[in-house]
Amino acid sequence: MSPTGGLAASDPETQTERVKPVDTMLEVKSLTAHVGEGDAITPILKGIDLSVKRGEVHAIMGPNGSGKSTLSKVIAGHPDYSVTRGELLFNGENILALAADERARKGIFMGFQYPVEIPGVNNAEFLRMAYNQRRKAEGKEEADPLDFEEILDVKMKELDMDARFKERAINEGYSGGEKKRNEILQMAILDPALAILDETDSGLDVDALKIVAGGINRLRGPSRAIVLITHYQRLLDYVKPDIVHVLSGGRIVKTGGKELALEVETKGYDWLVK
Amino acid sequence: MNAPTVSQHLIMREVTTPSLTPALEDFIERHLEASPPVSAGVRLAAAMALRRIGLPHPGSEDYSFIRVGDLMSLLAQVPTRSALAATAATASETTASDAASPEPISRKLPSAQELAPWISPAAEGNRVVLIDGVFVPELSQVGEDYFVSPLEDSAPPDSPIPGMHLRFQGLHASFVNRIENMLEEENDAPAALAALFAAQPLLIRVPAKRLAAGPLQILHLTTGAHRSDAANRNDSFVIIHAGAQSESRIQVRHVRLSVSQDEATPADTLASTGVGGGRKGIATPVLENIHTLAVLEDGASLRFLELGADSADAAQDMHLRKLTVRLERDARLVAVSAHTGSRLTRTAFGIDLAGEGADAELNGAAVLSGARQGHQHVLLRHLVPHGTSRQLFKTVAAEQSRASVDGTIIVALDAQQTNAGQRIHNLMLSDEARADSKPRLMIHADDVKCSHGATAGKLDPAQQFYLESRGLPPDQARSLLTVAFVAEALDKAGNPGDPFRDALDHALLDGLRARLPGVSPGVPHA
Repeated sequence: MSPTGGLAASDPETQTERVKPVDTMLEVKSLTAHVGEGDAITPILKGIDLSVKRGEVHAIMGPNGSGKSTLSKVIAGHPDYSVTRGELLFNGENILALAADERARKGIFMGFQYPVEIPGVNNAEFLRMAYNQRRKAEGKEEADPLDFEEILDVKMKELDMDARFKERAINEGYSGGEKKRNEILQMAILDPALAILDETDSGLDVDALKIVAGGINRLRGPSRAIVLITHYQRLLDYVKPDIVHVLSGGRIVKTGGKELALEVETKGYDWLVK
Repeated sequence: MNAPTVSQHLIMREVTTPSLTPALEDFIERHLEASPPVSAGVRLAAAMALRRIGLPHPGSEDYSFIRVGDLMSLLAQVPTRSALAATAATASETTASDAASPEPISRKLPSAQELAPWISPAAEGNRVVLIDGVFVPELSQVGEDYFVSPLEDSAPPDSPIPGMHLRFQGLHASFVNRIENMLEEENDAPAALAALFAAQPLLIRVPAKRLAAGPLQILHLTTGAHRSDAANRNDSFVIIHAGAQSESRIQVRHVRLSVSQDEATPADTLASTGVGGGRKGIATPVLENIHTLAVLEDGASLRFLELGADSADAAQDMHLRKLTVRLERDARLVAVSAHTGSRLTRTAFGIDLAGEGADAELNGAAVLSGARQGHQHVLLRHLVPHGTSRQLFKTVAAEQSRASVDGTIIVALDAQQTNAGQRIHNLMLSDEARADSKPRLMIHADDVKCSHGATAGKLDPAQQFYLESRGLPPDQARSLLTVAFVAEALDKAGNPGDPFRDALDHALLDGLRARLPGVSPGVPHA
């Protein structure tokens, strides 16, 4: 199988629907954000503009310290970051005042670069709670444990995850690849409208990368938008983005098609940063 | 006999001349005179220890985190004058043997139905019920794996004459001797007092090579009104003798039966307990002082699980619980002690790894709210080489509660190749709560692996954000993390689904779940 082989194409929907994306799902306007308080403020985002339409897959690339991870956390509502200027619209609604859990229930999902280990909290139980919170927010009936287990089993099989992950605590003792797969599993279960995946490819070997990419591709569809945040171009061999942005110094310095990712791969970031 | 004396130099102790109150000395003298032979020997050993260590006083190193004055007032309350008179009267009127028996149980016993909430179905057929330290055969059930009797009457299980007095006969006499030796070395005043005051030392024996099929449940019921000679307190002394290569499990529950102050007739007494409602009056604060002493012979394995979680009306009680264990060669101990605190709850472990290759695992879980206190004391001694031990203490301190873990590991000069670890973790849910940790290692050997660590902190914001980023409301996320924090210690008692593990979970955490809305009581585990 070639590096690009079949994974994206395995979902026939994506090919056709991607051609005619519909309305704008995420709109970031002149967003400025910093971390810290008082005298210890570190500005990180210095005016981000980004527009992601339903059905699109965006890739945000950039050197270390450019603000990639911060952008994903700010969109997800991480309390450590303060937004000082700009707007953050999700389906036309300004969500800056919403807490992280409220944003999640509206359909925003962030895949963590470093998923935390939570000893003592059962993975499957947590997934069911999260799933039911989302169901409740959508006005749907909550799933009972047995029904949920069926859903979970299907998704886990797709991601080639061992059934024992259901018994284990969240991310506790997982390998890097297992943690990332668990992120994708959560995304598959929660079925978000917008998924922001922060360096989901980092620390994965090629086999794990293919599985994770397969999981992402399976979720591509006309009603969903995906933002991939990555340092390397490698993931983009498997998940073909529609639009590529380069972030540097807290600003988007270049936007282009998927060929921009290849250009970055060969030339590095220096030519864009200067 | 294999009872090497612990080198006294290991115990760094301020040199003082403790003195007991004249009333207490007077009581001890009369009490010993009135005791039958076996009990007298055991009580004498306890009295000797007590005279050596004295009662806790402000400045007692082992009570650094405890307001001793509060404790003293209850500890010193007894023996009362009337109790002294009662004891003396009993001694003069009856034979020595009869005097060992406690005052006749004049009150109606709780029915099986009333006890049902605390009865573990898993321990069906193996249940020991004590009311204020008095063994109640009528409520107890003893099967084939565990032999239970007052120490005074104990015969080896293979004795052709059950109940035969074996004070001076081989096996039993030497065992009693070891108990006396252990008591003489007791470092904890309340534990010595429990052995001294208990109506009768009770012996639970697991025969050598017996692999007990199920657990034995010990139900310590505290009323403070069962013994006419010791009001408002429950002193219990239970001895566990695990035979060589045996495997046993003991599950202890501490239950407070509230009795109204103006009990008129015996029939009223139980109707007014907190068990099935109908309680009247405010419960008198009661001191529960329980000493469990276990000897684990070569290769014996004991799982000792303990739960004390009381209703709100027992919040004014004091609970002192001591587990003393001597592990012989290759013996294994897993102990889990869980509670929700009270006006003063102090659990203590005194563990001696006396045989090579012995392994001890001590765990504590406490969830404290309101103004409750929970204090844990540990003295674990590696006396010989190749011993391993692990300790894990998890405390949740909410509101204005106070907690402490004061834990010492001693590795004797000869105890090479020891591997000992201790972890103390406190989760602070309020700025007004307080938790102190005092981990101490005293290592005299040079080829050992020892570690200890103590933390006190709030919920991890990274974990909380992770859960919230998946749509869990903040309350639910906090509750989930708090429950998870304690779960690590509870898991040592068994996997979720195990009845006792689940009882621990409900007793400790349901209140917390109610305080942190978002998770319904009794969250399923999987």
